[in-house]
Amino acid sequence: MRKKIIVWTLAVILALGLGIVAYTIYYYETVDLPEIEIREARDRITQAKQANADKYSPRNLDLAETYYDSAIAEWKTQNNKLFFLREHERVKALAIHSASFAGKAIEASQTGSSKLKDAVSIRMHQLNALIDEYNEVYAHIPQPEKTQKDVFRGRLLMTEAFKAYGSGDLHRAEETISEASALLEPAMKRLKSSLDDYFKQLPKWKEWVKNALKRNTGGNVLIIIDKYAHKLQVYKGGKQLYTFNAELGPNWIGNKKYRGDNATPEGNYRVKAKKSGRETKYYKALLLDYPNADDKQRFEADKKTGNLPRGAKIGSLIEIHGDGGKGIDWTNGCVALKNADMDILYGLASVNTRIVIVGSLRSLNEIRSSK
Amino acid sequence: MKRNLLTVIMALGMIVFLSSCGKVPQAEIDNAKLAIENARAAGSELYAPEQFAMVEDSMNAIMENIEARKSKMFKNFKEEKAQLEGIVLLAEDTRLAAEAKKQEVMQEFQDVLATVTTLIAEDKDLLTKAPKGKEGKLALQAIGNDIAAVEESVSSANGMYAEGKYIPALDAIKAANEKAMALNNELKEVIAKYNKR
Repeated sequence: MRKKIIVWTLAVILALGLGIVAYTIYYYETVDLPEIEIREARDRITQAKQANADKYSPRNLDLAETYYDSAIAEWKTQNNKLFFLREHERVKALAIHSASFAGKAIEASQTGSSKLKDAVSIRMHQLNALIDEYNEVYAHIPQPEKTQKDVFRGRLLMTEAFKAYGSGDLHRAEETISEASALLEPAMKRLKSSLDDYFKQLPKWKEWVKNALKRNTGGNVLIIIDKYAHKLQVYKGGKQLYTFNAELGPNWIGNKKYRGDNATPEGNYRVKAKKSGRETKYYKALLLDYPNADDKQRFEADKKTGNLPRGAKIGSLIEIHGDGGKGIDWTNGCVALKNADMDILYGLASVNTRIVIVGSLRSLNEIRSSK
Repeated sequence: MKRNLLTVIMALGMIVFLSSCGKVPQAEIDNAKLAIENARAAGSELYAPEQFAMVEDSMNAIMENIEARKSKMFKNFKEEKAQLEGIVLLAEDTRLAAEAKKQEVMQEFQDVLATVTTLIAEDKDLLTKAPKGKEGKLALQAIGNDIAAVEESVSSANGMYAEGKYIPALDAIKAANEKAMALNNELKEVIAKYNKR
């Protein structure tokens, strides 16, 4: 009887043990682990990082990483429990959240990156166009030191921006472009405004030239100097014979106001004297009758209104002379030609030859559209 | 009967033993994490970003595998242990690569700095050697201002370098160098034009 009890007890224990083993095996075989969800979250976070989500969508990336870390932490917690008490649903939910935020981060980064790339590229093109315009229209005109400095610094920053753009650092490129535009755009605005003001005199200049050409009949020689174009044109009997490159005073924009302002005067003049040999230190020269009556009147008016200091003098000795061809505006207000061109002009001109000096023969629009 | 019972009990014991014998390789995990942190501290995110991202991703994958193993009946972390040792090596490689790249950037900065410094000195020297006549005086003055702007840019690049922003500093110094070179040519051209009399 006792033996029977022992056998039965052992049989029950064995059955129980086998039941537990069977359940354990069943559990481990059928347990639904969150591996797929976790892996998906990790893959998406990696993709988000590759898409620079830390820059374009930091909040979404941060949330994705936080949910991922929480999912792993939760998994650890569950693994520390007895196997039959483990619950993976929360781990999965956290991983799914993580993947979702990582997905948003990827999308936002792709859109943001593409938008930023486009925006930076557009800004770079705009500023480059501005720099091109500067080179073509403004680089050779006299300008205040601040403007010159701002344009130079702006161009330097643009070089930096190009390098950052080239290395894919769009945010730095954008920052540098902003710095460059803060210098370039106001500088260009100032230059445009001052040039626009100057060109308001275009109708007057055109009138001078028209009248001079009307009178240029017979064997008369007429010299027209276009300061903006840096050209000296020679007419005879209404026909244009020559066009020479001319160099001026460094402060050539605007009319000459006083002695020493390094400006080339504008107006209707005549050759007062021809100089050669020891009479001039610049190869050959045609002395102008500057200042004429208009110049004197304007000078006195400027002195009266206080636009010029009391001690200011009107200046004289404005010539068309040789020794030019340096490629820079270097005279004190005279017009310099290459010696070969001066030889031709000297041969054609005589005392009393009419000279018209204008700011420009063409409008700013014509100049800009021809560039 | 008794023998059968003993066999079953032993089998159960073996199952219990096997299912709980694997220990999480904590020391290896700690080593790998430390190696990754060292790589991060060396600037790997900036100087070896792809390599560093790969190391981080691999580490996360291993940690996932460890948790997955912990969730299974038979735990054996031998494979993960080996992988973690691999991570230590990879992270170390990444750290070395980042440091090498950083050194390369720093060296390039120093080289360009030396070049631009020489160029600026040469530009200034050319300015003093330039004739003092009225011809080109203003042009030379303008170039003088531009040289000052390049110097300002060099100083700003040095500031970035001192803050450890080596990559933007390198871009800035390269841009300054290009401008200093352009000025050098322009200056020589202006002087040549002046002398052409």
